[in-house]
Amino acid sequence: MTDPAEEAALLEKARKGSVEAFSELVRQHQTAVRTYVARFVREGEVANDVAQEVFLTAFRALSSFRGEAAFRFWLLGIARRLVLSSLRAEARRRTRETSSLPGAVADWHADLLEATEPRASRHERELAALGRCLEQLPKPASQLVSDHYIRGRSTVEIARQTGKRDSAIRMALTRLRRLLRECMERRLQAEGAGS
Amino acid sequence: MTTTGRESLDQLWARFLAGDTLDAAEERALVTALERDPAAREARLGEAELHGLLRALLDEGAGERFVSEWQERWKHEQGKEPFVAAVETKLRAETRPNVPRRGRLSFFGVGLVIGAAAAMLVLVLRPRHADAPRPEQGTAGHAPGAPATTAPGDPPVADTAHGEREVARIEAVRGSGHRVSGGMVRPAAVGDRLASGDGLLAAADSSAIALGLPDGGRLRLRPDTVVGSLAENARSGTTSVFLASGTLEGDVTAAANARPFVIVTRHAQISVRGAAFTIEARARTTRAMVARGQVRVVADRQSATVEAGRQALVGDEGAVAVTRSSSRIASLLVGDARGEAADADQAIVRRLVALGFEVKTKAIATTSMAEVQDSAIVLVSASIRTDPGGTPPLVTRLRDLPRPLVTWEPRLFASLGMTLPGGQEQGVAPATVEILIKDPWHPLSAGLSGTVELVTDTSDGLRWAAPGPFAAWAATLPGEPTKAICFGYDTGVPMPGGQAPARRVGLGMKVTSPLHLSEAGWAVFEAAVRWAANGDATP
Repeated sequence: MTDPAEEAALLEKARKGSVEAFSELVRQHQTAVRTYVARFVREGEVANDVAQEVFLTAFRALSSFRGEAAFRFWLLGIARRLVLSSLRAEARRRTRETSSLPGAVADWHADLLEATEPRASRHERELAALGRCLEQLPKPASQLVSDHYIRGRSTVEIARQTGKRDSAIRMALTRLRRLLRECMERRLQAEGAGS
Repeated sequence: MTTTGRESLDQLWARFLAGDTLDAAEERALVTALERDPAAREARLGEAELHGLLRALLDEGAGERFVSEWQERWKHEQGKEPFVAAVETKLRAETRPNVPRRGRLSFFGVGLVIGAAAAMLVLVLRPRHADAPRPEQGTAGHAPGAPATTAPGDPPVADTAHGEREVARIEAVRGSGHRVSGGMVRPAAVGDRLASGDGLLAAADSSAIALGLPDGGRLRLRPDTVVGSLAENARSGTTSVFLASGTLEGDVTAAANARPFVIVTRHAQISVRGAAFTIEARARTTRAMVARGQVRVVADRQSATVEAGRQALVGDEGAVAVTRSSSRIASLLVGDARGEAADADQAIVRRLVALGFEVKTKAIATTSMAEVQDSAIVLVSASIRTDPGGTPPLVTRLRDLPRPLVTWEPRLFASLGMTLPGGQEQGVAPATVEILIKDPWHPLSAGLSGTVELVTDTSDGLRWAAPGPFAAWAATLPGEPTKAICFGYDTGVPMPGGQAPARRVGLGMKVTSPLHLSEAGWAVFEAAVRWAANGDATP
């Protein structure tokens, strides 16, 4: 969690041009921004580029940030605009190529993002809920998450390692994601009811 | 394979998320199934979101790598002129698939990127326009890649500084214009000769570049325009430009020795011979407006010939819609203003011209509805209050005008249906110059956030209003969340005085405020005009 006083001091220095201070802000907020972008931008390299652009844009425009909203929400507002732009560009590019699914997915994501209210605070709460849901996963599921998402092994590699068919691994991942999603929803609802 | 069964849909989607390559039939089947079933689509998108979230969240060491990379990129940014940095950013966004990753474009690489982007898009578009009527052959017999030569009947042309054949020459530059040639970015200068592959950039303020073609034709880049490249095709005898973004005006001759002229955008190929035209290339659409002669517009799915007085709109889906042209006419309705009030209206005119509008200033007392029906946007100046005799009758009729409308006179809001009538719905905040951006994400907010200074003169004060619940509130008075200074209604949204027939924007300013608008104030004004006129969520 960011200390507001420390963040205010870093912002003050960054406004005066301190790259070191802004780098610290990048360090503190990169997870929120990277994960927000990665939700919608499918290709990792492109998502990384967009997330980098968020911080470059923010540093250039820092004088316009007056602190009425949280700095992180301001960053996520910039991220939302850049993600939308990236998704639309991706959709256009893919439409011009033969493959249609990635373009359609980009377009659907963009439509969804445009149709919904900015939900920076929800992203924060979802991240926290996901963290808690991951902690509660049963061991086989936790192992699968670790192999696929932390170690970066493909479903084919995991299948070879476990002696299962890769289609079975893919479906296990599908079920796992659904479980995590349901777990997150329950937690968010419980939070809402409790607040 | 069939994908109607839930199991096969799940399998295909799981393969897609796992990064497998699906064949075209599988992709089509999945797209079709998900397009038909919004609930299934939403569930799959939710799963894709979670997949991306997990990948980013659980990527060990990504945080430190990210910070180092950011520092490296910032250092790179600082080593360049701001203009070039902005161009790189724009090009990176528009040409991402072919641009080297991680922003390591060199200062002098911008031109190559532009060229690559142009080449890529021309190549991508060409096969899709294979059914397009080919321009007449001006020269023939050249093998692909052979050097261009002058054919009998071609107009005499000079060579560029590099000994290449001249495609166009810069005749005038206003503001900040740049030329990209041989990978170098230089300020554009009058007399510069442009060869095949050269690009041009007119900056986003009021900059513009005028070009002359060897056959006597004229082109003009309006502000915020990027021409990726000019090219001369020896085989087809055409001159072409790739318009990456912005607005290009042209007047191309129909003389016997004139070269057919082709404009390529992301959405369409527009062939011109003997026509005066304006082409707008935007993120999602290309618009071709014809003032004289005719042009041929070819898109993915349709093509059309567009006559004078008409316009063609091409979207991402590749369809061509031809309608009567309202051009880019902005009708500014004013009162019998004199002195500072008249100067303020002139400041608005200048700003609209810089935005690319042809401005028609009309006295509201003598203007009919018919005279503003075809405008791209109608602006009602606060100077109309200088007219004697109260609110002009046209104002009430404007409430139903199906064209975008912007006004900065709050005392008209109720007549236009934008607020309820009554004294509680509007007021004056004397000696106030600042506004609070309420929704930084909305295009009306011009990318601003927090508290910003709208006007520089405290004697102006600000005018607030209380719009209806369906309005987008872009800015309020600081500390006064119910007093809006900038708000808008999207088309079809309920306003207190009826449904919005087109976009409506209200700004709370004094008649002379345009003379004292800050930089942020003009940004808000421009955002209001763009949002209203474009019907586009992107500012």
